[in-house]
Formats: sequence, structure tokens, C-alpha cells
Amino acid sequence: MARIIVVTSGKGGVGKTTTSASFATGLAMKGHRTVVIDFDVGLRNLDLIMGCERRVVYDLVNVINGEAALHQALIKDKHTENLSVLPASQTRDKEALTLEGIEAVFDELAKDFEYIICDSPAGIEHGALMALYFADEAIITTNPEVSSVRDSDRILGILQSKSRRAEKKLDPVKEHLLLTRYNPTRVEMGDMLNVEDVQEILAIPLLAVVPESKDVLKASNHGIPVIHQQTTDAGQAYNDMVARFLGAELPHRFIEPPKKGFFQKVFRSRA
Amino acid sequence: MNSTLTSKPSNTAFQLKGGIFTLTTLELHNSCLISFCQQLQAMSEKAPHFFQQTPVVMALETLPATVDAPDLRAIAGRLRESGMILVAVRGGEQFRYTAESAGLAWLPFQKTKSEKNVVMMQQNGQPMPVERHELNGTGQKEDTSGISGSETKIIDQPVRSGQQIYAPGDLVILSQVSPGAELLAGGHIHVYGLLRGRALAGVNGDPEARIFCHRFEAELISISGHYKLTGQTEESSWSRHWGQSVLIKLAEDRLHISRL
Ligand SMILES: Nc1ncnc2c1ncn2[C@@H]1O[C@H](COP(=O)(O)OP(=O)(O)O)[C@@H](O)[C@H]1O
Ligand SMILES: [Mg+2]
Repeated sequence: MARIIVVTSGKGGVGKTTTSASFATGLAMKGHRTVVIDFDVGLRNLDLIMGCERRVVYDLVNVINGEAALHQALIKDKHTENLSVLPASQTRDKEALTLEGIEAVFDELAKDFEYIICDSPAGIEHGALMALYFADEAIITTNPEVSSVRDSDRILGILQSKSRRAEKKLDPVKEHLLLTRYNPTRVEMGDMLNVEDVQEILAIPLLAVVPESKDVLKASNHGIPVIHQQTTDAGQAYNDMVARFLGAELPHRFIEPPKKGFFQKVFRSRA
Repeated sequence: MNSTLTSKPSNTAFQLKGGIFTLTTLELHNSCLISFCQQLQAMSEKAPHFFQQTPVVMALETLPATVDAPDLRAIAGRLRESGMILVAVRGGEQFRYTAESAGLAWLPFQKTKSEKNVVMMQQNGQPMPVERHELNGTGQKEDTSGISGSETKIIDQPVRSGQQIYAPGDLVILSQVSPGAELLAGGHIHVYGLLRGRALAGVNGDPEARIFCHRFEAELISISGHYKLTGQTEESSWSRHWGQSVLIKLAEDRLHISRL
């Protein structure tokens, strides 16, 4: 049985697409046949971050409307085996998504893939509901700030009441907290919520903390998911995320501010 | 329950339909305009946005039989200033003509069971008066059909921001209640987790209803229509109980909080 996993948040710009790209890539690198679907119809970002924008011919909406076969729309990733991308349309709007259409696409994907990762658009409207409806698990992507936490809380409520699992009274959607764009220095200064604050409010298990890092933007600009860069903090954080998702028990990292250098220490102690 | 009085909407300018609405009832206890205005002013000072374009029916059957006719035009004007729109008066057969000349509909008095005013919060955080409510879109699935008022509802998941839970009887929450979430119960409310949202007990007018919570950090508390915005910072018995295990009850028309 394929697992359907939605990467969602409510709030925009928190790192859903970045996370979808690295998470899907990480699962594929571990040998799991994975497809990542862009549900952000009208914006279309995922193909850029995956570096396959020039190879987009057909998209999710074409497949739903029967204008293209699924295999025509799926793009095989160039860097990673076992990984495919199903891009979004830039010219349609989110209303083109229907539950029947999505279900048919998922049924077909489930024959070939173990993991179906859904990159949700922001908001709690139609597009976001379509992305989360069939989910078995949800990656609640959250930044350490009040508005993002509040929106995540809202999305959790929607998962509990409006998903297929909720409507059919099946086991609830399995929830994971991904705290990203975490800046330990700013947390320490009190500008941002800390891990415990966020966990206390949302009360769901923490999957990983991804630090705020310039490497993320650099990787996106090159069209290479940051998980490929294992020398970077963000890349390692996503690697941990994937390993924990697959059952490994690893201590959480990137929660403390970077250790101060020798000279900083000297200056500190004299000040 | 709609009954159509005209047919075929296609070539007609309008159609009349019967509908059932929930309205706020204002019970008038005497016809003194001064005391009326004083009470109204005190109320709108406490909650300036409490009423916004709220239709109101004024109940006159509660007036003593010998009282002078209330000045309905003046009352309607004052209500209007507070955001309430007087649409009709009810009861007090002797005032029927007074109502008509003030341009108001008159309704006969009928005994109904759930006529107590309740405070409910809208999405935007403003309190508004209603007598009952429907669950909103993102709320938990609701089943009130045929449930007797004494049945207890137990929720074992967190109640999230934007969700509303209603129980005709008692409501027991085993988990936390997030900011922006709302609990409404005809009876008592028990929260065994952190209460950060709003809790409204006794919403059908039961003044004996109580709220128990394991950790009190609520935004709003209400019992039988008496409400208090509790997310406040100034020093009070409420702020002293912040984060504690508490009991909230209504006594002499005031909400009281005490340590459990
Ligand atoms: N860990 C991170 N550190 C720094 N910038 C990040 C991080 N994660 C995401 N970003 C940046 O935040 C912006 C929004 O990210 P994106 O993944 O598109 O969010 P969403 O899909 O939720 O709208 C992008 O510019 C991205 O490069
Ligand atoms: Mg995105």
C-alpha cells in the first residue's frame, strides 16, 4: 500500500516546497519509489526547486482532465533514482482540482510508488483541502513564530475533521511536526518561539528541526534539493528527518546556537 | 422548514418563504427609559463591539401589568446606537398599538424552552449574542439529533484553532484547547489539558453550570451568558490563577474563579 503524505502548513512561505523536495528526494535515495506532486496549481514552484522546469510538458490538471496520460506527465528525476515529479499547471486555477480526479491519479500512482508526497499550497481553501484530503500522514511545516504556529494548529484541526480518514472514521492522519527556518540565535534572544514552545502549543511529535540557512536558497537557485548537500546544516537536517520518518531514533540537532569561536569567547569574557 | 407561498421563481420579481430564525430577545423589566439607557451604556462600555447589526426582539410580557407604556421609539433609537436593530416586540397585548405606531412588528408571547441569551465568539474574536449556534465549517462533526440535554460528550483529541465543539449536555475534553478554539456546552465543561481557547458553559441559560480546567490560560470564559475576556494582563484574581488548575462558577451574577 502506498503511503500518501501531505506537506502542509496553512501559512505561506514557511518552507513546504523546500521540504517536499528534500523529503521526497531523501526517501528515494533510501531506495523507496517516491513521487512528489505539486498541488500549488497556478504558482508552480516544485519543478523549479527540483530543477526539472524545462522538462514540464503535461501537469496534474491535464491528467485529471484526461488531456494526458499519467506517464506522460510524470518527470523522472535526473539526480536520483526512484524519484518522479508530477508538476502543477501554471495556467489553471486550483478549482480545476477535484477529489474524484485526484483519487483516480492516486490509485494509478499507488501501483508504482511506495510514497506519494503532496506539496500543498498555502491557505485553508480548496487547493489545500484537495492536497490533504487523501493523506495518511502529514508533515506540519511550521516556523518558530506565533502566526505560523496558529495556522499549523488550524490545519491540524482540518486534518482531524475534513480529511478522508476523518470523514470515513478511519485511524486519524498521522501528524509530524517539522520546525523549519529555525534560528537558534534569534530564539535565544527571544525573537522567536523555541522548540518547546511550539511543541507545547501544537502537541504533536517533532520529526525534525531544520535551521535557517543560506544554503537553502542557493540550492533552490541551482534546482538541486538541499538534501543533496550533506555538508550543509539544512541538508543534514533533512537527512535526519528522512531517517527518523523511516524509523531511526536520532537525537535532535540544530537547536542550540552555533558554538562561539575562541576569539568571541575571549571578547565576551572581557566585556 | 420552508413553505412556499408563490411558485415558479422564473417570471416573478420575488418569492415569499417561511423561515425560522434565531433572534436575540431583550426582556424589558420596567419601562423607565433612564435605567434602560444606563444599563445599555454600561454594557456597551464593557464590550463595545458586542452587538453589530444584531436583530433584536423585545419581550414585553415580562413587564408588570400596571406599568406605563415604554417609549419604544426612544428605546429603538438607543439600541440602534449600540448596534442592535429592534425588529419586533413580543407579548404585552396592551402595547400592540404602541408597537405598530413605532413601526415595529408585534408577535404574540409563546413559551419557548431555550430562551436565554448566550455569548458566542465570532471568528474575528468579537463576542456576539445568540441563543444557539451552528457549528462552523472547520468544526468537528456534530450530531445533536435526538440527544437529551443531559448526555455527556467526550473529546479525546486536541481542539484546534478554528474548531468549535458543542455539547447539549456536559462537555469533557481530555486534551488541550488551542487559542482560537471554542467550547460550548449546555452543562459543565471539563478540560483535562491546557485551556487556551474559549469556554462557554451553560449556554442554554443554566447558571449552575461550571468550568473545570487543569491548566487555565483561557481567552474567554462564559457561564450562562455572563462572560469575561480572561486573556488579560492586569492584576486580578484571574491573572493570579493563570496556568493553574481552576474551577469557575457563577454566583450572584458574577463569575468567580478558584483553585481546584
Ligand atoms: N531552512 C531554510 N532556511 C532559509 N530559507 C528557507 C528555508 N526553508 C525555506 N526557505 C526559503 O523560504 C522561502 C519559502 O520557501 P518555500 O519552500 O517555497 O515555502 P512554501 O512552499 O511553504 O511557500 C524560499 O525563498 C526558500 O528558499
Ligand atoms: Mg510552496
